[in-house]
Amino acid sequence: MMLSKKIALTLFSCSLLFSSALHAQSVGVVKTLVGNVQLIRAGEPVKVVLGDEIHIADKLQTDSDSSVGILFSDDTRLGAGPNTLFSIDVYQFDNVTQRGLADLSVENGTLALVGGKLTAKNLDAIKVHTPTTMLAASCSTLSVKVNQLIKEAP
Amino acid sequence: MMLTNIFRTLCLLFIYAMISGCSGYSSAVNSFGPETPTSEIRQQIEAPLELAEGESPFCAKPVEPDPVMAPAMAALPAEPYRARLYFIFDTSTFTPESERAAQKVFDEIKSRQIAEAIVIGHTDTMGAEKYNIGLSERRAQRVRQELIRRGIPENIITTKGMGESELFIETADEVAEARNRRVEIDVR
Repeated sequence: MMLSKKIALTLFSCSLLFSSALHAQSVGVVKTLVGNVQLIRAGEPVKVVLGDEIHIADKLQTDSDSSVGILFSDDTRLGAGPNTLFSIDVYQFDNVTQRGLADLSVENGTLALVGGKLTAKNLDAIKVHTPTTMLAASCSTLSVKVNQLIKEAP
Repeated sequence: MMLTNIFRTLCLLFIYAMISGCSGYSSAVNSFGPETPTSEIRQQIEAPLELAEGESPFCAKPVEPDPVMAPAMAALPAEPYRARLYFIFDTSTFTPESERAAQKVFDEIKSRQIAEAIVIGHTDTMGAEKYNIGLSERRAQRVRQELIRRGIPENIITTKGMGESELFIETADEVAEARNRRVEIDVR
């Protein structure tokens, strides 16, 4: 009886830990979707559907004629155009202090961003990395276009 | 008396010296030449301003929308919508003002292509904590029913009753505060 109680307690605390870890990872939700969009999580590509949760370190790839829109927990909104490859590298948002920061990387394509509570308190909260530079513009809205790097023939 | 007279004379002398000194100096300046400027730089500075034709490189040009960015802009999710509705004391009936506002709020929610509606009920600090949790749940349910009645799919509405745990206006226990008797709707 005592043992089963202990096991139950351990299982309960484990599930709590697990759920809180999962909860902490979810930073946004897919709100708009056109065409074919892949989510690459831990190296595994998965087809994105509306309502999918986005975690830190997720990479998203849109096909041609495709686009995806994400609403982050702080109400920051992001739209990605066709042939876009981007990732969410860092995302922290404290609901109580309404502060945090976000780092995004665009390898290719187009991104539009409208800052939410993150940029309401700190205009420098969101940074966008591109293959050649890092945008740390003090603003709440921005759009980025990254052209495919032309590789020189050896 | 004598001293005052000497002091007065000295003062007058001092004033005279100052005045004569100044006039001497000003006449000395005048003796250098005419009062009209002759220097080229001065003429340039005082010449009437002529605006150059064409655009200045320092003027900000309006940003033109780039057609390449259009799909990314179109993919931006709609801005989340939040509304607050108030209730009559110890009921799940809207106040007359909120009853009127509710129509607008529900119409706005219906006009959006929403994926999620979070409805959270609250109470003021009057009454027992346990009772207030039930009351706040009933308030949230009331809004949920209204949303369903207007065609919002049931499965996207989440309701919760917070009782008196999240006051909008901080009060002591057993205080009737109209602004705390509310439901907060978060549409995202």
